Amino acid sequence: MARSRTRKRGAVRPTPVWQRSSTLIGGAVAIVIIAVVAFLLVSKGHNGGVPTGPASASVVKAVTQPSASVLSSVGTASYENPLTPLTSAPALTGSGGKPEVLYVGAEYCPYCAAERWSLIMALGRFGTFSNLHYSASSSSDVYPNTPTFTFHGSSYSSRYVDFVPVETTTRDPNQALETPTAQQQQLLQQYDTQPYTSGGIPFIDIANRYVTAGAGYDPQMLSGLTHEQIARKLRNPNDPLTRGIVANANYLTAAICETTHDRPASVCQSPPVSRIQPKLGGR
Amino acid sequence: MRATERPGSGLGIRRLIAEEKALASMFVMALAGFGISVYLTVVHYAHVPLVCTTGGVVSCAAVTSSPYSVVPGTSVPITIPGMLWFVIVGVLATIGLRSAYHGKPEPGWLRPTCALWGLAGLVVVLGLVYAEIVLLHRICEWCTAVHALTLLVFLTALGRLGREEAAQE
Repeated sequence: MARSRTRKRGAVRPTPVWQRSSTLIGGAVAIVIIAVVAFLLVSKGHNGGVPTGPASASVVKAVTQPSASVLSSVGTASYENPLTPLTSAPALTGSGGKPEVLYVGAEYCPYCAAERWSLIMALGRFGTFSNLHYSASSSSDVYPNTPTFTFHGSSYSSRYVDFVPVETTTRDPNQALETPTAQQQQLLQQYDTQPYTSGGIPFIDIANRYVTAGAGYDPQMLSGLTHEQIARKLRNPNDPLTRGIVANANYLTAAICETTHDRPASVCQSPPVSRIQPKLGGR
Repeated sequence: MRATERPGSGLGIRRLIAEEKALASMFVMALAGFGISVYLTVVHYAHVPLVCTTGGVVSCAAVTSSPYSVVPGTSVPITIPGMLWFVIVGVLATIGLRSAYHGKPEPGWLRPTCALWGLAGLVVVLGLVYAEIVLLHRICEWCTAVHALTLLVFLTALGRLGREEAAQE
């Protein structure tokens, strides 16, 4: 008689281990734990992709020598004037006797990160920067890792203005870098407050003729971009980021022209600047 | 013998929740995850501060204003796909609960679909956790809550899938 091949009634085949709920769940939890531990280990040697090192010549050129058509086309791009005129302050001059542009900021600061692009663009029209280095704002503040430069270690030469930057801290706000002088502290206390500014950094004093604090445009627009990408965008006057950087730079340029007696003429008599100057106030 | 085995019978709500704990849990988690995602989305567009402790490794502002808080290549906050993900989870859980309520077997595709959908969510969550830990060195409490809910949904779906495999033996 052939042996029955049917399963005996009542017999239960045990579930394979890999099919059991507990195995599936345990396996998934183990994979997640391993992944998170791996991330923690990798993060120790990872700086978040923050660029450092000397700024490339092409990027510096793109920022300091923007196209005249882009500058003119953007104008003020419907951005409000960020500058407050100082009507009775004594002139601020640098060690070379020229009008001084004072910048006080910090490497961690995302608003400083944004403002530096415009300030470098404006000052680039009056002189030459050297030794600019890439940087980014703090990874733990708002707008983390905003791509920018640092003025620490850089130099600037110009026939028309003296530029004095003070980066007070590194990307770590608890690590001091440069200390404002007593005179700079006094200017901060006197003018980096109401009714002149809303206070805080970045603080820019243009020869005690105009002051401003904060970023002239939204730092969010720089988020996720490389320096090279930002430099390429500066060719397009319709790009929102370009319009922010350039409009802000045009205001700063016009203010600097007010202190240099409209020199150089090629800059101060150019269409966007000559249109903006009457709007600055304080004349 | 379960009441659902009687054709045409259904379960009361309380008994439904008691007997279909996994599906009910998934539904509740979907609601919670959807709610948090809505909050994060509103905060993103309104530019208001998050209710979040800040200190040391925790910085909601740093995470939610980072480039990793939006869908790559767009300006759409990642919380919007997250909201949709939780909506789908809620829908899937509802399909199962509805079947049980009416005393009908749930569709055969439901459990594998829940598991796969949960896996998809978990993969995205692991990417976001990578961004937080490795790239930003910061975590956001609200984001972590959403990530935990996503993981729990996946584990619950996986558990149901495992029980289904066992039941078929």
